[in-house]
Amino acid sequence: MFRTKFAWVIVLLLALGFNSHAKGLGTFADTLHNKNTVTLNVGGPAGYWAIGYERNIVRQGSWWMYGAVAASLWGLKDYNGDFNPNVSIPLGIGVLYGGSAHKLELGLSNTLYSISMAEGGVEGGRELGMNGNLQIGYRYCMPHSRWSIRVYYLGVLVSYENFVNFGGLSIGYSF
Amino acid sequence: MRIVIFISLFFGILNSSCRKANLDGIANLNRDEISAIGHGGMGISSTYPIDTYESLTAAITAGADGVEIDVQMSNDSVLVAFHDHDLSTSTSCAGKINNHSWELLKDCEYVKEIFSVYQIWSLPEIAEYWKGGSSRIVVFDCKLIYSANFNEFIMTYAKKLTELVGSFEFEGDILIESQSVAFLQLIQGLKPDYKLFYYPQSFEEGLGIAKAYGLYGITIASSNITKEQIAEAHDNGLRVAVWNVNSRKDNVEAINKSPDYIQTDKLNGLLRLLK
Repeated sequence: MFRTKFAWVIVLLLALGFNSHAKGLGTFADTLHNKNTVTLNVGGPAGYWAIGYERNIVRQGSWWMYGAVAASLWGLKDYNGDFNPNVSIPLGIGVLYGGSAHKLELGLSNTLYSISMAEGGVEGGRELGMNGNLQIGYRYCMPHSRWSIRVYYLGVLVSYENFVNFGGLSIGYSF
Repeated sequence: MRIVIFISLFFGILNSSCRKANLDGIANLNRDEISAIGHGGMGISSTYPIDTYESLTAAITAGADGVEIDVQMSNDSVLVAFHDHDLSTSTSCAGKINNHSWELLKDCEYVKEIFSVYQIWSLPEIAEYWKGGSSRIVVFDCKLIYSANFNEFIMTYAKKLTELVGSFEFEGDILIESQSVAFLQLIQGLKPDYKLFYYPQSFEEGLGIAKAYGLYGITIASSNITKEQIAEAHDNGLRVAVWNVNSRKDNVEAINKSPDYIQTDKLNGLLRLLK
């Protein structure tokens, strides 16, 4: 019980800190945060790695709302040695809260994937599936730079049936 | 101070990554060659879950000399390729393999990273798909995880396994390993010509039992056996298979001990080292 209360106090303090930081550096944020960001992701809703694109849709004070899409290819050759890559495409929306440098983020996404497998015989088949993802993370935008890095926890509802704890790391370049 | 730490780390990493496998020094009962066996196929770090048809076939495609398959039995006596003690650690199902029928198990899916597409395979299915396949080694690691009467369980298991081996239209060697002496004796009684490996906790125990029962060899964790002990096993006419080989360093250390078989989780790395 004490731990839970303590955690909430930390979250509240962080939020207040971000808010004051945001106010102090408001003009800085305006100039540095462009609408578009390309990202290179490790882990995350695409699975292993992905190249992504984000676009800030709405901004209200210290809040941003963004849409994101990514794509990943891995395992280019299947178990028979044939070219038959696995593909995953996460598509999501999220909100960012914070100042010019430090931001908290919360996002929801859906990952569509197609994976090579042995379906009904020795010939390579494919399986299409979908995951639901909840993303909670922290983003650091480097001052006087277009680069940002973020780290996040990902709760994945695999095939909308089984829950798996996962995570991700990404770097972004805004323009 | 930082520079000292950096230099120590640099040379430490360099030293560990540059250790060489001595291929010229290999001396064993396998024509002085080491057979590269993929643990459950491509090993635990592959994108394919181990013991799936995909992982096993990928290992053969990659050029492995053979594959190790973990074998358990369902409650309706179907031999199933599955590694873990409990289904919940890697699949969408829960409980022991022996608690469920094959009808239920075939719908369980592995959850690998965040994807769930690969199914659990039965041994008869794999045997059917591999019919007429190339000459590779297949190692059956018999995991006797049971939920009722042990004696009845191993009797049925042994009968099913010998039937299965008979149905494998496969030119390569079939090796059978188990931690249970009673089970190996049972198999020996049914099929005296089978190549049986005992899976001991220590080298001394393994050597004693393998000699006493006239087994083909022992399977042991690479960290639990020395080069000299492997030579001692060879002097007693016993083959040695080592497992728990999870990195390049482990592969190199295992090669330098001259076992007959290495069951590795880093298959591609081992194949490159043995070239």
